[in-house]
Amino acid sequence: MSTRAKQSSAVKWALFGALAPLVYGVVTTGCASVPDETRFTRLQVPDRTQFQTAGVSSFLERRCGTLDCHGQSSRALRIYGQFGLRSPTGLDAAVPSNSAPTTDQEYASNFQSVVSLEPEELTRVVANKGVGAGRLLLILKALGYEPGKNEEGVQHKGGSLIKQGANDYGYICLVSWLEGSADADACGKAQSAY
Amino acid sequence: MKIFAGVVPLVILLVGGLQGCSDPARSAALDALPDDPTPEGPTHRPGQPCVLCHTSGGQASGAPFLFAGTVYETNDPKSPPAANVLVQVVDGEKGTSSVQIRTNAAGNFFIRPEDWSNSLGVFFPAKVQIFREDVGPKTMLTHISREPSCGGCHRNPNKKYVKSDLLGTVQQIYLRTAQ
Repeated sequence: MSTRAKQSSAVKWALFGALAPLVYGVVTTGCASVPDETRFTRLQVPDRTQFQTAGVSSFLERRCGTLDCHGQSSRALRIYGQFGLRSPTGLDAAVPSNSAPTTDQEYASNFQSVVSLEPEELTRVVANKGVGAGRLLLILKALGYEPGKNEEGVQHKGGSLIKQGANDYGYICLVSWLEGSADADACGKAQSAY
Repeated sequence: MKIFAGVVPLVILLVGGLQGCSDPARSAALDALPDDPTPEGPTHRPGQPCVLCHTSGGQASGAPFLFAGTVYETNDPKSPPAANVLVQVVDGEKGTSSVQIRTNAAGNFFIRPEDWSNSLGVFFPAKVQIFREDVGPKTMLTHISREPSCGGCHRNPNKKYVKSDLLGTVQQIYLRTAQ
């Protein structure tokens, strides 16, 4: 082998040595381990039965679930109910609004929608018996804290719907449910205001 | 030729830019509306969401409405419109701003900014009641959270809307239940 050929071969090996780890790194990064299907995060959510029977859902239906707000299928917080959006009962079919009381399926969908907004944050609040409920978007948005006006500010196009404190039945309804014992009286008064 | 070559890209950019300023959601909603043979005016497009056009940026932005809609005699989709119905809208949050207005021959009513008692505008939620002497008052079951067009939610299923457009809607505004 000539000197020139030897030099060329050495360069090739040097390049291979330099690039091989890089190529290996790129290829193996894309081969992460298969997700463990048995692994899950246990969430703590407020009581499902109270959500329906104490009137938490009914309050949300009346206050938030009108067809021009959260009674729309495109909303993350999607609220079904007797006077608003009805849950589809079949292909492209639904019970007309105001034709029948809120169904169990609709209550279940409302519950899923509420607890799925911020599941991890909700778990912390519920685990602490409602402490920190004011951090949840469910409360923050309903309070209508606007960016720039409050350090917890969030944008809520619907503005302020409840007021923080013991004088607002809507606030009591939601927070008492998050604390573990929904105030049915407050929920009833809050929904009848609308 | 050089001038022409310079103008063409400019025109393309201008046209493209103007197209980019349109509201695709509004355009889609307008495209979905049924045709209406009635000439433009107070009686045209009954039952349709008026404020899609009668608002800033709409095709009828020169005549903006705060609220507008159509009232029918009954809940039958073939019902005639209800004329001379008094529509009262109350500012739900403050409870101090309100307006009363009558429907015209097509059942249409529209509330212009100058009709509203509060120059600061509407503080939602708003509440609505309709009244005619021979029927009595009828109050809307829910409040209005933000939608200024009654036709945005109240739909007549006979008006050739596609089925999927009727999901999440409620029947037309009416005075009496059909016999």
